Amino acid sequence: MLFSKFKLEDVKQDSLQVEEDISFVRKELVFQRVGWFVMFVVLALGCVGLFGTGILSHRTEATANAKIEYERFLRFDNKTQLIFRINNANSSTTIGIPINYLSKFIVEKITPEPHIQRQTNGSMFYDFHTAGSSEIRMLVKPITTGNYKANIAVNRDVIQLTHFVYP
Amino acid sequence: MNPIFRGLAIYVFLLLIFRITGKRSLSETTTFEFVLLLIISETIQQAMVGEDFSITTAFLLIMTLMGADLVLSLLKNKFKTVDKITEGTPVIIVDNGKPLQHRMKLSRVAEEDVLNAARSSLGLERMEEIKFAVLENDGSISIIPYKN
Repeated sequence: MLFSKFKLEDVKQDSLQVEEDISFVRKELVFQRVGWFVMFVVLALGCVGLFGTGILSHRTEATANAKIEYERFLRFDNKTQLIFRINNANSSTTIGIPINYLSKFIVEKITPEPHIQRQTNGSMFYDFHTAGSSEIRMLVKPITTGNYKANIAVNRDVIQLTHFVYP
Repeated sequence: MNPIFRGLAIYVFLLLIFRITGKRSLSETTTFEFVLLLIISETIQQAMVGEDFSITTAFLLIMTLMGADLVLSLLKNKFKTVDKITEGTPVIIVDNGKPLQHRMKLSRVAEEDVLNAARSSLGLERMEEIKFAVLENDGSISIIPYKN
């Protein structure tokens, strides 16, 4: 049906030595229109965050005492933030991140800085001085591509994050 | 990612995107299109190299791009179909002074583009002086005038 829209005039000539293949040109034109459609669909999906930074990508995982905001879709070598919001924090908050998750990211900056950082049982624990409602931000940069999950401990709560990192 | 695979991915993507957008895209280098080409090349350069400014990566990427182009040219030479798929075929858009409207519209060529090519290449004044106009694979328009 799509092909019928691409009617091209017949040219009967033998003086001009040109390798014109009009049936191929019609296929090419159809391929191009399909390609345009796919390109604009990809761009539209990109606008809403399929490739990161948008409503499809922004995630919030929460428990009664803590909440993590993060991006589901990331791009290789592109920085992103993990935002931890802790309700009614005690004088100290501990965030535990599995080492195998950290091996896929570089932690560039933590705000505020933890007063203690220790590694126990395959996880890196960051201890912070906190009081009341607190917000901790981690700036991380993915260094591998693919899909991965991690269970992040925030005090006694465990929150699962899922990322897909595009090349 | 390995710079060789990055280079190959970029090469294939560029080939595909230029085939999708058609012959006429960026075929005439206006000032705006020239700037657009510069922006595209800058974007590609950053995606290929990233933060790796080593001379080894530069050598590998240059060899990858030149190698891919060499392989493609060999394939085009050997298989006519590969040539058609990657380059397309020329399309006659004016036949005996008569513009072929469907062909021109679908190929995104305006009559003014044909007249422009006729004026600039051969100094022709009118459409009736053109025997054939052909949209070439590179997006340019060749004009064949009537022989006097």
